[in-house]
Amino acid sequence: MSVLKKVLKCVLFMTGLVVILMVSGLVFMPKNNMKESGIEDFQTNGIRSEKKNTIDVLVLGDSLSYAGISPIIMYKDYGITSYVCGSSGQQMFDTYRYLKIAFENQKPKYVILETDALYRKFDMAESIGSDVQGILPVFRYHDRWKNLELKDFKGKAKYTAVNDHKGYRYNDTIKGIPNKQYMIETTEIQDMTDLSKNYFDQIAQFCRKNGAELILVSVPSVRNCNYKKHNAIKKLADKYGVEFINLNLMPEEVPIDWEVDTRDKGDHLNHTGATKVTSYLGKYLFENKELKDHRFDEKYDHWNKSLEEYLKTLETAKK
Amino acid sequence: MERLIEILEDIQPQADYETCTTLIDDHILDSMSIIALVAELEEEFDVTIPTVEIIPANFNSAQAMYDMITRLQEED
Amino acid sequence: MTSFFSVFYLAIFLPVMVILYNVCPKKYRPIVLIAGSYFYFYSISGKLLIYLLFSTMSIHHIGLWLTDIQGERDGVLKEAAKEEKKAIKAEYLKKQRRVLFFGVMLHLGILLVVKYTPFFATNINTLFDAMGINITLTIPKIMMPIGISFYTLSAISYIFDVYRETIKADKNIARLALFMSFFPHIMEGPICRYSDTAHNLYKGERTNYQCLTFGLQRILFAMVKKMVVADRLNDFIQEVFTNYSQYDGGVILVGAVCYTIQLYMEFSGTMDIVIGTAQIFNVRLPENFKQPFFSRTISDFWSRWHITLGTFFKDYIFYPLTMSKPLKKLTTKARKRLGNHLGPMLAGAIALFCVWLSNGLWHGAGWQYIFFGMYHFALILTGNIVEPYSRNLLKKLHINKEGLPYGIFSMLRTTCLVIVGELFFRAEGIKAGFAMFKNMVFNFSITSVKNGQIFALGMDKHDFLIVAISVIIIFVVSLLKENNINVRGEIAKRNIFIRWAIYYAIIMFIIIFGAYGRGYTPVDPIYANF
Repeated sequence: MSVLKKVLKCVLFMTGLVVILMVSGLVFMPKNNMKESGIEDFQTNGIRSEKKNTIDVLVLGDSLSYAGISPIIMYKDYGITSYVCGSSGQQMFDTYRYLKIAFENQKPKYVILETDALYRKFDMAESIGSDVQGILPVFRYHDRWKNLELKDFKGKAKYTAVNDHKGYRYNDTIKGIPNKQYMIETTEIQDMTDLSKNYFDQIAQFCRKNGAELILVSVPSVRNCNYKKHNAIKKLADKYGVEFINLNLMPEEVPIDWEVDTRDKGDHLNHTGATKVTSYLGKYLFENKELKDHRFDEKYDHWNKSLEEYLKTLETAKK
Repeated sequence: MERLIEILEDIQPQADYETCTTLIDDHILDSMSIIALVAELEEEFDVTIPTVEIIPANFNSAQAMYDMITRLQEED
Repeated sequence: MTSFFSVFYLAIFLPVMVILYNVCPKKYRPIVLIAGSYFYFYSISGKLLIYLLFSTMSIHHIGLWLTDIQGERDGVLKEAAKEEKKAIKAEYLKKQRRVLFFGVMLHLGILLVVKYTPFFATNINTLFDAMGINITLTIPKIMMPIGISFYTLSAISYIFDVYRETIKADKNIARLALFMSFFPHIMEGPICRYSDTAHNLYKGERTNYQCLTFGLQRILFAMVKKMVVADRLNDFIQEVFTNYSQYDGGVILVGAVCYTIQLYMEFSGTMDIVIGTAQIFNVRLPENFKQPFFSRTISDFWSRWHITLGTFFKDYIFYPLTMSKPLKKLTTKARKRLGNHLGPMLAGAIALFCVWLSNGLWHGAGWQYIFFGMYHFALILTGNIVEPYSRNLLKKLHINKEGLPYGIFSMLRTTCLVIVGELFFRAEGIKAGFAMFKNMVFNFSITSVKNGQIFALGMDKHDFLIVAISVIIIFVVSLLKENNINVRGEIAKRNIFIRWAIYYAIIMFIIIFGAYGRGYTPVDPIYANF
C-alpha cells in the first residue's frame, strides 16, 4: 500500500466517524428543556423557552449567582425582566457558551457576570473538550441511552419548559456562621489564570458586538471572596472599562447577617440573603441603568404568572 | 541421561520425558518439583547449579537439563 | 494529567509524542522519548523526578562497578593456576555480593522509607500505646513519586542481572534512563527486564501502519474495559465497601464480585493501553495478563495475573532463596525423611512465605495487604501439599482431571477464592474485611436484589445490564484467546466494510456507554498507588 493510499484511508475513516458522531448527536440531543428530557442544568436552559426578546438583564456565573440573585424579586419590585444562566461549578467556557445560547433568542441590554466563575480553575483539555461537546453533542449527552425514546430518533428539539424562578434556585436552609470581617483591605492581588482572562476577553467582546453592557458583580460570600480577589477583579474591570460592583464591600446597602443568611456556613446565600442582594441590585439597576418597568405591559403578562407560581412556592415552603 | 530420566520420573511420574520439550511451559514441572530436582541433580552429578541457570530454557526437556549438567561439569 | 484515559493524554500528549518521534531522525528518537517521559513524570510528580534520576544514575554506576570487578576477576583468572581458580572466583564473588547488597538495599531502602514510614510509625505508636509508654511518633507525610514501586523493581532486576552476568552493564546512561522512565510503563508497569526491553526501546524504529493500527485497536479495547466497565462500577463499589454494615450478604457478594471485575478491567485495561501505546512506538512490552480467570489453581492464577510481578518474585526471591545453601541442605535432608512430595515443600514453604509477604507489602502499607499475601500463601501451599492426594482421589472416583466438567469446576473454584481474596484486599482495613466476609456468608439474602434496593446504590438496572454485556463480550474474546484464536488477527482478515463496521461499533460503544462526563467519578489508577 502506498503512503498516499494509507493517508487517504485514515482520512476517510475519520470522516466516516465524524458523520456517525454527528448523526448520533441528533438522536442523543435532548428534545426539550425540562428535567425529565435529560437536559443538563434544566434551570439554566430554561432561557431557551423565554419569549423572544423579553429578557433585559442576563446573569451569568457559578452557583453563587443562582443562589444570590432572584429575577422574580427584581420583577416584583421594579418590573425588570432578567434571567440567571448560572450553573453549578460553571467554568468560564460554560459561561461563554450560555452567553451565546441566551443571545440566540434574547437581546439583553445588560449582562451581569458573577465574578466567582473567573476563579474556577480548568485546563486547556477541558475547554477543548467542551468545544468538542458543543459540535458533537453525543459526548455531552451520551448517558441518555438509558432513556431514549422513539421520538428521539425523529424530529427536532422543541423547548417548552418555562422556569418560573428564571434560573434562581430557591433554598431556605439556614446554616450560619458568626459574623466577622472577611474583606480585609490590602494591596495584594490574587490573579486569575490566563485561560480565564482569555475567556473573559471573548465574553467582553461578544457583549460589545451585541450592544450589551457588561457588569461585574460579586455576590457576598465569606468562603469565596477576599480583598486580593477584589483587587484583581477591579484591575480587570478597569482595563475593559466595565463596571464592577462588589457587594461584599457594601454592608450598608446589602446587610448580610451571616448567622441567618447563608445555607452552608458562608459559602452560598440562602433565600433571605438572596432577597437582600436582589433588592439592592434591582434598585441600583433601575435607578442607574436604562431599564423599563414591564409590570403593566401586556406583552409581559406571562411574568405575572411566574410571579404567582413563585409566591406559591414560598407559601408551601413556609409550611 | 538414563539416570536423569529416572530422577525425573521419581519426582513427577506423569510425563513422557523422552519426548516432551515443554515441561515448564506446560506446568508439568512446577516450582516445588524444580526445588527437589535441583537438589537431587546436584547430589547425583556433583555439580552446583546456580540460580542463574534456573530458567525455563534449561528445564523444558530432559535433553536441555542434560546439556546444562554437562556444561556445568566442564566449567568446574 | 493523571491517567492514560484522560483527554490530555489521548488527544494531546500521545499524538504530539508520536509525531515528534517520527519526525525526528532515528538517532534522536530515544531522546524524544526520554524528554517526553520526564515531562510526563514531572506533570504528575513534579520535583519528585529527582528520585527517578537518582535511581537511574545509581544503577548506571553500580552496573559499571560490578563490571569492573568482573573484568578484574577475569584478568586475574587468566593468569592464575588451575587450583587457585576456585578461591579467586569465591573472593571476587564476595566483592560482587557486597556491591549487589549495597545496590539492592539502596533502592529497597528508598522504597521502604517513602512507602512504609507512616505505616511503621502508626504501628509503633499503637504498640507504645498498648505498652503504656507515653511516646508518640509524629507521622511524617512523605510524597511518593509516581511508579516508584514499579521502576524500583526494574532497577533491582537490572543490578541483579548484571551481577549474575546474564546481561552486560550498560555504559550508555541514556539507554538506562529510557528503560527506567518510558512513559507508558512508568505508572503501572509492566515491570520490565533490561534484557527484554532496553535495547528495543533505544532503537528508535519508525511507527509503521501496522503497529499504529494494532496499537490503536488495543487502546480501544482498553477503553472498553476501563471506561465502560471499571468506571461504571466505581460508585457502587465505593458505596458497598464504605457503608458495608448497612447491607445484607447479597449486596456484599455482588460488591465483591464487582470489585474483582473492576480490578481486572482497570489493571488489564491499563496494560492494554500501555502495551498498545508502546506498540505505536514500535516497541513490544511484556504481557502482564494471560486470561487469569481460566486458571485451574491459585498458583496457575498468579502465573496469569500481573505476570511480570510474579516472575520478578520468582526470579529474585523464590529461586535465590530455595537455591541458597542452607535451604538446599534442608531440601536434601527433608527429602530423605519425608519423601519426594513433602520433602521440597519445607524449603519451598519458607521461600513462598517470603514471596507472599513481599507481595502483600508491595501492594501497600496496610495489614489488609499483608493478610492478602498470607491468604494466597496459604492457598498455594495447601494446593501443593494436597495435590497428589486429590489426584488419587479423583482417580478413584473416576473423574477425568483433564475433562471439561472438572476443568470448569476448578476454574470456578479458583475464581471464588480470588474474589474472597480481593474482598479483603479492597476492604477498608482488615476488621472491615472480616466483617464483610462474615456478613456475606452468614447474612446472605437476595432481598435487596428482589426489592430493588441494590439498584439505588450508584448503579441502576441499566448500568448493571451494560456491565454484564461488556463483561460477556470481553469474556468471549478471552475464551477465544485461550483457545488460540486471535480476535484482532481474525478481524484483520475480513474485508474493509466488515472491519470498519466493527471499529465504528466499538468506538460508538465506548462513546455512548462509557462512564465519563457529569455524574461519574472515574476510578483512580488502582495500581499506580501501590
